Amino acid sequence: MDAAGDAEFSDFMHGRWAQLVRLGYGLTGDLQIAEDLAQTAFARAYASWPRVRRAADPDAYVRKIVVNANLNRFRKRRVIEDLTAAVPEVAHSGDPVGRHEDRAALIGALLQLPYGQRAVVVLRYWLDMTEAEVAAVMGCSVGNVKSQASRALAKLRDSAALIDGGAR
Amino acid sequence: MSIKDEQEIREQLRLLGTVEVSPPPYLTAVRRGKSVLLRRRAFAAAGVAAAVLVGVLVPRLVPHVGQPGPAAPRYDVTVHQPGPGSPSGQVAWGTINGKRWQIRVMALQGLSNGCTFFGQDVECVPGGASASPRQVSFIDARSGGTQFQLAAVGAGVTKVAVTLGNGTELTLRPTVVDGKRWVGFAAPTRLPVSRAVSFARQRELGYAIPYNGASGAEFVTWLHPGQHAAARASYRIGSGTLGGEHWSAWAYAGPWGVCVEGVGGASWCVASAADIQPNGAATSYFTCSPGAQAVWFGAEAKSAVATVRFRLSDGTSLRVPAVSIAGGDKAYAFAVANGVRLRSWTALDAAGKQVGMGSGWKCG
Repeated sequence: MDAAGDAEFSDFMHGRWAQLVRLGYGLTGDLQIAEDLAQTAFARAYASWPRVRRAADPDAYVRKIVVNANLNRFRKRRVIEDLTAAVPEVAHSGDPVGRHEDRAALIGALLQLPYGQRAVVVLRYWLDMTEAEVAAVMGCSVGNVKSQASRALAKLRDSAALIDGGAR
Repeated sequence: MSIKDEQEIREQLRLLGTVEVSPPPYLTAVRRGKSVLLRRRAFAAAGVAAAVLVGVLVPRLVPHVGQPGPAAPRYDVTVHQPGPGSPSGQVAWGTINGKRWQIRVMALQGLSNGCTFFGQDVECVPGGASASPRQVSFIDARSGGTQFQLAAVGAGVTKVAVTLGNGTELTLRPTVVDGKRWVGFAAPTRLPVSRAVSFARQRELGYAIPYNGASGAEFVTWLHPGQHAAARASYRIGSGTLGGEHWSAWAYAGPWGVCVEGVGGASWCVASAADIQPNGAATSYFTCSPGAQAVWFGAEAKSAVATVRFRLSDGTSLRVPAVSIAGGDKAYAFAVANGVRLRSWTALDAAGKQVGMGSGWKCG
């Protein structure tokens, strides 16, 4: 890659790193895995940078990698995933305790959703993507996104994790 | 409280935006990206041969088809205090994914900080390292993919609790070596250190959120219990191209203070943005790093300075914009080819008016 490409990629990565890690965190509940997913996405974006930079929406490219890389991880670990209902430990941060607990409750509720529903919720309602954009990232139809969102919201409405966790 | 509608889930999902994220591992991502490219090229070059070989090897390959690919790294980190029969000077030992490490302090006085590595066995000569009664003073060393953290602790500190990025909690209890109290731990460099909290029995004395840079965690600032930590921000303080390679230098501000990376191989930290202020002159450099092709400079400038112009020994000049760091003055970074010297500098304000000048800087 030439120097101009490197500079563009540097700006691209620095501008989107935090959001992509947080997307991964919403999908996995594990900050370490989230950072690995984001790093994987940017490494692949670097390897395909001439194509990514010309894409209509380079953000969609890296988001798609994070969503699908994690989906693959889930496929490989499905048995382990099904055996535990406990909320994984969330890395501590310098946040106030209340916010940390709220976030743990939120992650707990998200992790109770099937992966597809969780991804739709995070993409649609956190990143404010349109249903069509979510469908493009997830590689499914808009109708599928609508039904996944509807089911997810119904589950979250009754989520014991959010009720008990006291998310404010 | 339960979620009633889309608006409410949007509100709650905003908590994701409060997750604290380490600085982007730009160089690592580029390195991995380049290895992806190399693999692709290797596959393309071997394409024809592979097509033939597949026919021959398919029966051997089939059993491997269902095996999972490489998963995200998992780190199992432990730390223990020395016990009976432990080596002299041992501060702590433990394992990383089952591989044993230890940190020892050599009781030599009057020498500067330094550590010697024998694989995962680290001997450190901490020189004059010391800590006041309530303090924890870390020095760090890196070998391969492992960071070793050693700290002198004050007499009032009975425990330091360290949280790693994967949620692992390490409890460090002081060990006395040569009359001084120490704690230590080791962790993979890739695994961020989220925070450390010091205690006097059950009472929290303070906490620190380190900067997790390319060489591991750097503990710079300790905060009082409950003290608000500074917000995180990043600033590109310089970039350019040398020998066809792009480089950029960044200042990362946060609870640790401000750390600068990308100035050649050097990194530099201060306890707070307020510490970014040139001494006396309109601008002065805080670090320099000679490399194979170039010498990098990281510098600070008074807030009135918009750009700094350097006259170089090869007859050319260089203009570098200074970047405001919230809560402090300005910082900037630049590189000059090896052998080219800085003859003089002139600091200019936003209107191009000269606000200071001085003779050139020499690295080293």
